Amino acid sequence: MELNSLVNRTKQSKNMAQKVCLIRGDGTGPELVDAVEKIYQAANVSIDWVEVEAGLKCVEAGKPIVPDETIEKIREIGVAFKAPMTTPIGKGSVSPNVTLRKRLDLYACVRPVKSLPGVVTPFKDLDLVIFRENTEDLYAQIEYIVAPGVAHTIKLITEEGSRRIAKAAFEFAKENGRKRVTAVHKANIMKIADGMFLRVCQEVAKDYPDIEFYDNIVDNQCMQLITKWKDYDVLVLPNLYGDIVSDLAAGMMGGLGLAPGANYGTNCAIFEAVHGSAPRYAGLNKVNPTALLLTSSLMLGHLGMHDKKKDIEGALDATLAKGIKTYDIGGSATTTEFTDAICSELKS
Amino acid sequence: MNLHGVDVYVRSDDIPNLDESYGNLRLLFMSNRGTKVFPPPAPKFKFIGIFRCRFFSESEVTDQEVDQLLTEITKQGYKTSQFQKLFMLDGVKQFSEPY
Repeated sequence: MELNSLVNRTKQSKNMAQKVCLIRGDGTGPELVDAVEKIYQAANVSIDWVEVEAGLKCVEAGKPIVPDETIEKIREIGVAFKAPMTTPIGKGSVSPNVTLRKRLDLYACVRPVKSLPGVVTPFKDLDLVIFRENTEDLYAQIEYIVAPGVAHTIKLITEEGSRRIAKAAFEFAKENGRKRVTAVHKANIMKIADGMFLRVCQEVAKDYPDIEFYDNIVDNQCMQLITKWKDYDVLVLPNLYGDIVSDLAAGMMGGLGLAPGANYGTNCAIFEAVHGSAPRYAGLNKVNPTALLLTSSLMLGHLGMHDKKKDIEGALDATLAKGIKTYDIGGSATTTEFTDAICSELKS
Repeated sequence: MNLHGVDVYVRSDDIPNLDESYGNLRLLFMSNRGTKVFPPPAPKFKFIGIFRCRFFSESEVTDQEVDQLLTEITKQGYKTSQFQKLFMLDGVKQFSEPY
């Protein structure tokens, strides 16, 4: 799964290891990155990691949660791989994840949702790709107390922002042989903002006559995903609905420990798992590295390392099919045991 | 709640060329689509045609000072589409910061 037409990748020499910025993250982030690195070693994946700082450690050191040097380095290299980070609560700090997306204008959050072997859910043969607009909507973080006990938040929707995410969804569908794009909105209530999003999606759809286009109100979409998930293919949503529906879909897949994600802009991309940093589980050797591994697999595709991507996904599928699973999906394997099992599959 | 400033939404295709201060109200930042674009460094993205310009004073200001600021910006030739007064309560900001 790739978005070749949208991202101008920084050209790197084919003879050298690909450079990728690495954010090790907070909480369980570093141990999940260790697992991915171990699997890459077993798969002979050669990446020249360029470590950059962001997250809780920066705040504790009195720096911005995402320093300017980190933004500049990611912009220069064009690709970053990021483990989950913690947003300090109640300290007036902004989210490091949203800061990266906003400062680098990573407008397309892409979340593939697919059934995995050995992971039993009521949703057989699930295969969706969610395109969440990543920079606008209520996440513009424009909020005020306008009178005692009265809060206003601005929902920012633009034609430009709506058009580029709609185009990303349709281009992806075209490049990857997908048949249908569904725009999800609440234009029956927010007739102006969501009405604009829907109208722009309808306009973009006219440029892709070979792809079916539907639209759906977000509440109905949630119900339909649970009852008729096979009717859906590519979904395109404004930021807030995209956030909610993609977690719903991750649950349908088997949980957040399995769900990969990528954020694409015009000139760079950041690959990050959907789940949080789970600080309570840090150091317990318990968490599931699947989401971050599948995220890294999206990155390998983006870097053109298709054989390695296939090898790693194959080893993961084989491991899960053998019933080797972490606690979150009904297994008893530790992070290390699960990682080692994938490495063994790669070596065999 | 005590009045300490105002966010003025200024229509412009590029970063507005506003004064650093208007009376007691100092220009803190300008943002576009919720992301700070002034003071530099500005992220590289296509601006939409409206900038949120935050003017703030550490000490309390009056409604008349805010009105005066809006008049001055209009006199400079800028169109504004809305403004939102910024309040503090017991020393705590009653408004969000940009990314």
